[in-house]
Amino acid sequence: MKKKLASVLLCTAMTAAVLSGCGGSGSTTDTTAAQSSEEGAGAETETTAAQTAQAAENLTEFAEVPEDVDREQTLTYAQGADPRGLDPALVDDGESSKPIVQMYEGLTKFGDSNTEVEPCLAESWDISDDGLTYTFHLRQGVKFHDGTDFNAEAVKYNIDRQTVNKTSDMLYADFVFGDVAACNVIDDYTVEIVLNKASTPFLNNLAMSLGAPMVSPTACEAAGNNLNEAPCGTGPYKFVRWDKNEAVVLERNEDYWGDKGVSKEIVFRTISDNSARVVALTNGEVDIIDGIDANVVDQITAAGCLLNMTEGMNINYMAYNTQKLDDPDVRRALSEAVNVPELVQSLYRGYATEATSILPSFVPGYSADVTQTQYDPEDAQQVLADKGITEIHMLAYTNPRPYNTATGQTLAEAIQGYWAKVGVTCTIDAYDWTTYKEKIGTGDYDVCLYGWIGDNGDPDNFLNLLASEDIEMNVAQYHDEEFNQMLSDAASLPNGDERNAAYAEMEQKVADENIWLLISHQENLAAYASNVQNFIYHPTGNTFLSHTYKN
Amino acid sequence: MAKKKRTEIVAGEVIEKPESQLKVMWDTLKKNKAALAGLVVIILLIFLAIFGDLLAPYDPEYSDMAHTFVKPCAEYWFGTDQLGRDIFSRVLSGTKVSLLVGLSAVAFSLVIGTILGSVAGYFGGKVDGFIMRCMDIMLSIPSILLAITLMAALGKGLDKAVIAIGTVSIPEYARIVRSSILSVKENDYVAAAKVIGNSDGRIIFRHILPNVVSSIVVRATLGISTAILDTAALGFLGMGVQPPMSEWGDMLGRARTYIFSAPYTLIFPGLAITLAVLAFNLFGDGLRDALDPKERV
Amino acid sequence: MIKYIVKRLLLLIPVLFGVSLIVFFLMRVCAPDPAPIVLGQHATQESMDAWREANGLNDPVVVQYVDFIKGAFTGDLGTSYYTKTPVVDEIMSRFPATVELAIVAIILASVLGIVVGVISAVHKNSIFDNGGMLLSLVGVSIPIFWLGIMLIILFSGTLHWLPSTGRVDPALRPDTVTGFMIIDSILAGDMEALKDVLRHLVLPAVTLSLYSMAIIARMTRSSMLETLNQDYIRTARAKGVPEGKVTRRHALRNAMLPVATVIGLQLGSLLGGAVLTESVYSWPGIGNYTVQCIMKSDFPVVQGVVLLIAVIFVLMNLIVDVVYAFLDPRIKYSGKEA
Repeated sequence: MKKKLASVLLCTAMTAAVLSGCGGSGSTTDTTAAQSSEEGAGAETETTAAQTAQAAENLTEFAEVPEDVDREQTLTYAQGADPRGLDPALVDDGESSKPIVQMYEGLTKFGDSNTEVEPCLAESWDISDDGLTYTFHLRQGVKFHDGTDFNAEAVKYNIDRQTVNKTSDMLYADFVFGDVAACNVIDDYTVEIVLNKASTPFLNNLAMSLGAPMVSPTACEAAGNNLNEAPCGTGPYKFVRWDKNEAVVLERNEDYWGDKGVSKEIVFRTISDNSARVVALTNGEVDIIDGIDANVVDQITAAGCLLNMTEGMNINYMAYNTQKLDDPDVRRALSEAVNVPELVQSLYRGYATEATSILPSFVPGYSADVTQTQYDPEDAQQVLADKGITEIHMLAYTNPRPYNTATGQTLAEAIQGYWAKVGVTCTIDAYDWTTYKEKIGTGDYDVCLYGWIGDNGDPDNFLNLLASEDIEMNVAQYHDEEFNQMLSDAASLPNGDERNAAYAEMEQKVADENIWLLISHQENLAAYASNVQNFIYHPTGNTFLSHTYKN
Repeated sequence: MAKKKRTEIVAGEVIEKPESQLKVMWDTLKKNKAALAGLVVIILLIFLAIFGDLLAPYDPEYSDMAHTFVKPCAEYWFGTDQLGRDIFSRVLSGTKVSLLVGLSAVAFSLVIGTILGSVAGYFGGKVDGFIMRCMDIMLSIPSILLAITLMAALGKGLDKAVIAIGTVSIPEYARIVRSSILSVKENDYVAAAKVIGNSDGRIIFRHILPNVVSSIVVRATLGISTAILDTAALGFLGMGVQPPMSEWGDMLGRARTYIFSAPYTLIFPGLAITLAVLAFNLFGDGLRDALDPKERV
Repeated sequence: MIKYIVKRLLLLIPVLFGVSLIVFFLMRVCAPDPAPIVLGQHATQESMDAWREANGLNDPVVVQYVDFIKGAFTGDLGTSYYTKTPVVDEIMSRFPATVELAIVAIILASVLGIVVGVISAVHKNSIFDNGGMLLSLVGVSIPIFWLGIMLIILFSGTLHWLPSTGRVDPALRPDTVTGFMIIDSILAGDMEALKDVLRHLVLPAVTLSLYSMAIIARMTRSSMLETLNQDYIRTARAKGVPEGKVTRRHALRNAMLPVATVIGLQLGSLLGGAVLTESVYSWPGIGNYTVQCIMKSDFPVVQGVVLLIAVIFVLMNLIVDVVYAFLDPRIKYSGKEA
C-alpha cells in the first residue's frame, strides 16, 4: 500500500512536471535549460518511460537471482561522504553503515524492506516471562573473514566490548546494550543475555547496523580494539582496501554461510558533491547513487537511469523552546501560520512526505488519526497580534541533513517567509552543524530546526526524545510528568495493539500542545543505471547489495 | 569607526601634499581606456550598492514558496531561486554586501598593516624583528585556509568575515609600508624633523607615510578585488552571511545543488563577482601604471 | 650559501612554533566543542564529558599545547577525533592527490603562461597582446569555484566528455606505489589507467591553473619587455642577429629569472590553496579534507595539516630563493632577509 502510494505520488509529480510549461512556477522540467529545446523534449518522453519502469519494480523482498548472471562483475555505489570508519562500534554515519552491512552481521536482522526482526547469526531465541532473560541459539559453522569461529565466546566478547569494556567513543554502546546486565556463555552455541529492565525494542536493537554487528574477536584484538581500517565480520563481503576519500573496495566472501553475493566486487565511491554524483551516474562511472536531491531527478531519468524511492525512517521538525515560548496558544498560532503542505511540496518536490505524525508510517505505533495544527493564517495573525508576539529568534543549521536535504537554512528562510506574512519578524542564526550543536546546548533560542534518524524501527526510539533530560536531544525542553509516565509504561509493553495505541495517544498529546512543528519525512532516494537488478533501499537507509547485480 | 577615520587622514594627505602628482596621475589614467572602464563599473557598483534595494523590482528577502525556480523571464529577469526569491533583486542587493565587506576588510588590514609596518620600519631592531616574524608566520599559512580557520573560530556573520579577510592580508601592507619607510627613513628631512623635536608618531604620519601613500593606494585597490573574491569564497563554503541576506558567494554555494535543474541560479551571481573583481583589477592596474610606470607586474 | 640555507632553516622553527600557536589557540579556545558531533545523535552530557576527559580536552589549554608540541617532536600528531586514525596517516593518504594536482596545474600554468606572456611581449600592443592580457586579467578575476562549476556544467553535464570527480575509476586504479596516479599507472604499465587518470585530471587542473597562469603570463610579459629594452639586446639587434634568435637566445633566458620565482611561489600557494578546487571537484586531497575537519572541529587534524602546509610553504620560498641565487650570480646573500 505504502509502496503504491509512493509510486503514485512520484508519477503525479512527474506528470505535473511534464505538463507544466516553460517558466511555469515550481516546474521541475527546467532542468535542461542549458540544452537545446529538442533535447529537452526528448528528455521528457524518456522521463515518463523511465518512470513507468520504475513504478513497476519497488521490491519488497529480494528476487531469485537467475543462473546465467555474470558473477564476475563489479558493482559501484557512490555516496556523498567518506565513511567515518568501518568498525560498527565506533561510527554513527550512514556512509559507514552501508559498507558495514555488507561485511558484518548481527544476531538478528531486519526484513528485506521492513523493520521486522528475523533470525541471522542467532537461529532462534527464547525470552523469559519477565522479559529480562534472552537465550540465543547461534548458527553453527559460521566463520569470521579471518577464519575465527563464530560462537558463544565471540558473542560474549562483542557484548562485553560495548558494556563492561566500553570506551567513551563507542557511539551506540549505550543505545544498543545499555540495558544489558550480563552476558553468559551457556555452551558453544548458546548464549544468555540478562537485561536490567524489560525492553521491547531490544531484539530490534540487535538487528541494527551500528553497535550491534558481531566483529571477529581475534581481529579486534590485533587491531587494538579499532577495526575502522581493518574490518572483519561474518558478512557476504570481505574488505579489500580503502582509498581514503575515494573508495572502499569489497570482494565476495566465498566461504559465506548463506547465499553468496552475486557481484565479485562491490565498490563504494565517495563523491561529495551532489550534482557531481549525478553526473557520475549518468556518465556510467557508477551504478547506484544515493543522497539525491529532488532537483536532479529529471537529469537522472533523462539519462535513462531509474529512481528508487522508499519512505525513510526519519522526522524533520521545528521545535518550540517550551521554556521560552511557554504559552501553548502562541505556539499554536505560530504553527498555524506555516503552510506545511505547500512548503514541503516546494522545498522537497514530492521527495519528502508531509509529516502528519512523528512516526513514519511503517513504524508500529503510527496512527493516521493523529491530527496536527492546520494552516490558518488569519487566526494566527489575530492571536499573535493579541499576544503581542512580533519577534522570534530561530536557530538553524546550514548543512543538508539526512532528514532535510534542502538544508536547515533554506527551511528556516521558508518559515521566516510565512511568519513575515502574519506580522512576525524572525531572526535566523544559522551555523554549520558543529557550531549549531553547541549553540543548541546554550538553550538560547525561541525555536530551532532539528530532526531525527530512526535507529531500530521502534516507536520508543522517536518519542523518547521528548522525555530526554538532555537539551541536545530534547531541543523543545519539553518536561511533562504525564508524558514521561506514558512513555515508560509503553516501553515495556509487548508489541501489539495496546502498545501501538499508547504511542498514538502520546503523539496526539504533543500535537495538541504544539511542542514540535512537524515538517516532513525524507524519502530514501537512490538512483541506479537501468541494468541494475534486485535493488532494495531499506527504510533504515541501508542497502544490502549481495543480491543486487547488473544485467 | 576610529579605524576608518585614520584611513581618511592618510588619504587626506594625498590631496594635501602632492597635488601635481594627482593631476599627472589623472592625466595618465585618462588615456588608459581599460582603467577608465573599470572606474565606470566601480562607480556603477557603488551606485547599485547604495540604491540597489530601491531599484530592485522585488524585496530580495521575500520568499514565495508558490513561485520557486521560475526561469528568467520578463517578470523575473534572472529567474527565482529555491525559495521563490527574485535572483535579479538578490544580485543587486548582494552588491552592497560584497563592496561593504571588500572595502571594510581592506580598511581593516590597511590600518593595522600600516601601523605595524611603520612601527617595524621606523624603530627597527628587535621590534622590527618581532613584528616581521609574526608577519612571516601569518604568510606561511595559505590565506584562504587562515581565513576559513578564523571564520570557524569566530563564527558566521559579516563582521567576522571582515575580520577574517582583513587579517589575512595585514602582512602585505605591513611589508609594503615597512620597506617604503626604510627607504625614506634616512632622508635628510626626516633627520631634520627629528632634530626639531617632532614626536615619533608625528614624524611617521606627517613626514614618512605621505611618501608611501601611492603604493598603498594601488595595493589597496587591488586588495579590494582580492577581498571580494575571498568574501565570495567564504560564502560559497557556507561561512558568509546570516540568512536571508543576499551575498553572491553564498548564493552560488547554495545554488550548487541545482547545477543541472536550474543553472541560471548559478550564472548570474558568478558573473556579478567576476565583473566586480575585474573592475577593481582594471582600475588598480591603471592606477599603478599611472603612479609608478616602472612597477609593472 | 650553505650558511644562508642553514640560517633560513633555523628560522623555520620560530615560524612553525608561531603557526602551531595560532592554530592551536584559534581551534581550542574559539572553535566549537567537537564532542557533540563526534558522538553523534545519541550523545548525552555524560558521554560527552567522558569523551572530553578521555581526549584531554578538560585539561588547561596550556597543558594541551605542551602535550601537542611534545607529540609533534616525536612525529606523533595525534589521532583524528572523528575517524580515530593517526593524523599522519590521514594526511599521507590524501597528500599525494593534492601534490599531483598542483604539479600538473603548475606545469600547465607555466607552459601556457610563458607562451602567452612571451607572445604578448614580442608583439606588444598587438591583438595577441591585448587579448592575452585581457584573458589573464579575467583569469585573476574569475572566482575559481564558479569557473569549476561552469566547466562541470559544460564538459561533464552537457557534453559528457570528461569526468567531474575523483582521480581514477576504481576499477582501473593501479596499485599504490607512490600515491601519484600518473606514476603508479606508468609503473603498472597500464595505459588504460593512465588515460583515465589524465582524463580525471583535466578539469581540476585547468581550473586550478587559470589563476597562476594569468599571474605567470603577466609576469613573463613585463619581464620580457624589460629585458627587450636592455642595451645588450639592442646591441644584438644592431649586430643583425635575427629577431627570433634574439628573443629565444638572449631575452628569454634572462627574463625567466623573475618568472621562475613567481612559478615557485605559485606552486607553494597551489599546494595549500587548492581548497576550493578540491571542494568543487570532490578531489580526494588535503585541502578539501582540511575544510571538512575545520567544520567538524577535528582539532588534531587541523593542527597537523596547517603545520605541514606551513612547512611546505616556507620550504618552497627557501628553494625559490636558493634557485634564484644560483641563476643570478649578481645576488649575494648576507644571511639577512632578501
